[in-house]
Amino acid sequence: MTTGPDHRLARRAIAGGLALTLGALAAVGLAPAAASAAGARSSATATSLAASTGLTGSAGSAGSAGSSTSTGSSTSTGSSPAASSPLCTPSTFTTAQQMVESALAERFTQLNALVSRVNGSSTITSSDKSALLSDIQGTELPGIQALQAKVPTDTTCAQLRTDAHSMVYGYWVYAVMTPQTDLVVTNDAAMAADGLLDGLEPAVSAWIRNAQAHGIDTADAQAAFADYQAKVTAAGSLATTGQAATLLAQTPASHPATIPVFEQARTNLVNVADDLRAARQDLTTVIDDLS
Amino acid sequence: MQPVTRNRVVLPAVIVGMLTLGACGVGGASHVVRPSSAGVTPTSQPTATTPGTGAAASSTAPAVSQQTLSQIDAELGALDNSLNQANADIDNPQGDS
Repeated sequence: MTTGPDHRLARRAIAGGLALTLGALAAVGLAPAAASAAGARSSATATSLAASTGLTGSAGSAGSAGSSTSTGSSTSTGSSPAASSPLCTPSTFTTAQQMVESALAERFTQLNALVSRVNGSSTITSSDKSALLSDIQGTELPGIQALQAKVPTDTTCAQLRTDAHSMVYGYWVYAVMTPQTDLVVTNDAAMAADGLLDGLEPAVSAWIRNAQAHGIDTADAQAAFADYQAKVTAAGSLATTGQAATLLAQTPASHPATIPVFEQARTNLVNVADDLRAARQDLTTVIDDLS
Repeated sequence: MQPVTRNRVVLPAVIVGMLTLGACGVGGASHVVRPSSAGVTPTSQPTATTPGTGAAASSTAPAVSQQTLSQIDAELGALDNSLNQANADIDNPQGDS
């Protein structure tokens, strides 16, 4: 039940996801000055990625690849390709373009991996599966594929910047779609296991009563069964609180407000997994005590 | 024809006799086999009772079959795998880049 380290990991990791996407933006001069607190924490990563591509230190360009006018700093609302540190210049345009193309290909691969993950789950509910696949296959993949077709035709830094901004802020493949898919699949796996354990309660209870009626000492079994019931009930709270629905309600447009939602969901799931494992151990105790 | 007729009479009688002996527990255990060691799950079906022993047998009959326990373990394993996947993706979002 100790989830502190995991919780902190979740916070740090989700910030890391933002770092990756902001890093890609930084490569073409699109890293927002203050996208979010997580974005601020990721500035070092963004700078590092940009530096590795040789795109740092330029004056930047807001227009064509031939100009080099700085756009200055800005605050990002996610709605426009504002830049705080423009890096795309005529001399780096091709490199920046290739980087965006690479980032798009990675997102395409990741989205297909998510589709496989959903289809490969034997415990995901049909409605959750349908909702996830609708988002991934109906919105995300077509959008990324459209950008994959467009970016190679870009000829200016402004065009490239707009497309890179759309790639990140329009789809949030790593920061929203991936954790959302993972957590919904995990949530449903937890609910399936909980349902199985919950369904055993009448039989185990009857077993203990029957043993009592025949003079068998069931004290240990009763204690274990009480804990079993408590753990199974606690794990089932995910269903009553509608965590899957909450996760599915998160969208790229609502990011970064998605971060605390995902953090809470992962903490809940870590706790539920602990509860279910404890219930399984309780079941072993009951069996050992009565057999 | 006579041997055939005799067989038709004798065979059911033998079967009835075997069933009777079986119900009385002759030639086999009438109680559930205990796990061989602590932590080992039972191997018999959940609510099976042995004919002729009634409630006394059901008091020690495991309420959960080995098959069900294996299914629980498989689902908990799948849950762990799924949680690990979520952790890996969230902890290392650059993994695919």
